[in-house]
Amino acid sequence: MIRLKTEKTNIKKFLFELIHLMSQTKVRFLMCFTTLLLLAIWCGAYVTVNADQQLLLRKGILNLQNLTKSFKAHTEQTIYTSDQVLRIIKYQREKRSDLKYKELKDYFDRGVIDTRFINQIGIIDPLGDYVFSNLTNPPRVNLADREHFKIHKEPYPYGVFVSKSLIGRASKKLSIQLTRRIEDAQGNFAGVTVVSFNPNYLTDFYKSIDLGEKGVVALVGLDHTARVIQIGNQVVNTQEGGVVDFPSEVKDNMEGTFTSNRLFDGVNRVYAFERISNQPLVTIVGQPVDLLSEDSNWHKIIFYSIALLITLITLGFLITNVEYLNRLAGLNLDLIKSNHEVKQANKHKSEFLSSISHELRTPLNGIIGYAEYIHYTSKEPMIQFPAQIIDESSRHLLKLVNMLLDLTQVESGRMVLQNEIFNMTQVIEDVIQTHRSRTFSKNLKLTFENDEHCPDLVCMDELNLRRILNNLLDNAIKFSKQDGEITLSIHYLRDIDSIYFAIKDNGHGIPEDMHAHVFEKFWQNEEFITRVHGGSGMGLALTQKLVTLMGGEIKFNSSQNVGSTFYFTIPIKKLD
Amino acid sequence: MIKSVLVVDDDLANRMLPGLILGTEKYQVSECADGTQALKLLSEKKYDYVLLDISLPKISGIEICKIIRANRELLGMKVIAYTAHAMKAQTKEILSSGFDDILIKPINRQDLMTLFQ
Repeated sequence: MIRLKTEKTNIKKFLFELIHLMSQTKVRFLMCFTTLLLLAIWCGAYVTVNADQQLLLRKGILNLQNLTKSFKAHTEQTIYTSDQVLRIIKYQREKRSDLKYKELKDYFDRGVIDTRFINQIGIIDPLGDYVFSNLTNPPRVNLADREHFKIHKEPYPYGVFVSKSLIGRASKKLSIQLTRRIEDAQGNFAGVTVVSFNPNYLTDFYKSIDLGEKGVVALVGLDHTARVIQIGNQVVNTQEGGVVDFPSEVKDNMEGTFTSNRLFDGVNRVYAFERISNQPLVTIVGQPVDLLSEDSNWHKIIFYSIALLITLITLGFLITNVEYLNRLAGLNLDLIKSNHEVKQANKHKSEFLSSISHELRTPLNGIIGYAEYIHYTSKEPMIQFPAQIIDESSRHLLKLVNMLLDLTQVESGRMVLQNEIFNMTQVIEDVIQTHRSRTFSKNLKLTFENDEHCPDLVCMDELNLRRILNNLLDNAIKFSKQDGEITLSIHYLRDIDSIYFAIKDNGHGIPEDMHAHVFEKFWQNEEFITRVHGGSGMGLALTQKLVTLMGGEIKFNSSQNVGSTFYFTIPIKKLD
Repeated sequence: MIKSVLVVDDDLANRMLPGLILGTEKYQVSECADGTQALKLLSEKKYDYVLLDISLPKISGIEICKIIRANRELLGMKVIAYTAHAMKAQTKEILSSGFDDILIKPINRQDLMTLFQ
């Protein structure tokens, strides 16, 4: 494990541990999962914020369009109303070229012409002199240089001309002037009639609607010349030029929206526009893009904050549990390592066992072989007898070696069953036969009770069955008294497809208090086994393990001085 | 008819034993201690039985058996492993490498006689 003992900072430590963790499969999976989760959360937040922004923008634009429509209607209405005044004066003037204001005063006094919003009503003669006015002390001014005067010298196609916002020379007030051409009987230019009113009148309405500090309401000519511009609460004097650089689509469409930062003051705004009917004019209402997305900005902050919070919580969890995960990963690594070590140790143990087995058997071959040879060939009893002792002792030693190796193999799980089909009766008789010679000294009666229902051929591990039977018969013979009886019986258990074996003797038996330890390894009944009979204490332990390995179960009944019965079942295997 | 037997084992006691048990009446038993000698003897004469120890110096019993099996002139010989390798996995491996039978040490008279009948 990567473990730095001299980390200088916690971050460094964390990074190292993180890198280390990354190398662990489980943790890598966790990291991938976390990364994907966070990615999903951020993607989700981004998509939602974007969708929200679009939605709010659409709402804002719709709002602008509606405002523009009402501004347009208001403007049209104002122009129409003012034009009514212009038409009346124009009519009267054309009828009588020496018309004086006082002759029309009755119109105003009686409210036929409403002058509430009007700064000034007047007539300019063909030379440009301001000759007619509703003002109390009208100044003597020449207005020949005014744009409207110049325009009306020729018939104006739209009838009413709407001026820029300027300071009226007669009224001395910020005004927007609406003018009409006056003609004589021959249709020649005979002056101009003018109505001027405060441009605020057009835009005041919008003060009640919060368009914000940078909101714009404007009336602009299609020739890009500004008429009325209100930014925030301020009406801009448009006398000096004032070119509004709106895009060409405004000229081509009656209404629409566009986004630009080239109008007025360089602020990036979304604009809605509506053309004024019968006038080369367009109403424009705009709001800064920022303002429109102001709400969405809030939403953005909220969404991203939540995403950030989740990220922090997740990372926090990871960081605070990095130690734990590290341990987990380390544990995992340790497990792999120790598993490998166990396998290695197991392999070594296997090799050691087979080598021990080989090394013990090699000298035993000499001992048993030559003792047997002398036993069989010598005619001298004094040589024959010791040879027989050597033979039997060494065979006993061999048996112990085999048993020890078997026990070790079973316990370490290396004993693999070799199931094969064989004739069981034959095998049992064979086993009994090998034990028969040992029954003679005690004059034992060893019998086999077969079960006619038993199948002739069975499938199980033959060698292990022989081992089990050998061990149990060995014990039975060992613990039998003189002239005793030993019975090996079998039964076929149809319902569990198993063979039931019982080995019964009427020997010394096992004392009651020793019953619990019978199958324990290296357990010996001191009274009966060690002293009188000797024994390794391995036989029954191995027997029980072999029976269990073969899928069976072994039990016993025993009473002291009455005898013991060991019985066990072995299931018949299906040969696959 | 007298049958010829070759016993190959590096351990003197184990090498002499089969000959002693089998006796001289029915069998003519030759012995040698390693693979090189065994192959030399086999190149001179064909035996009815060869008892081969497995753990031999230089050339293992399994290799000798393979050489015998690859030699056409030695066809029909009974090659028997004569070994103290008793673990199941080992006997399986031995039997699968061309031996006719296996005699596991320690042997007894009965087993040997049964095998040679």
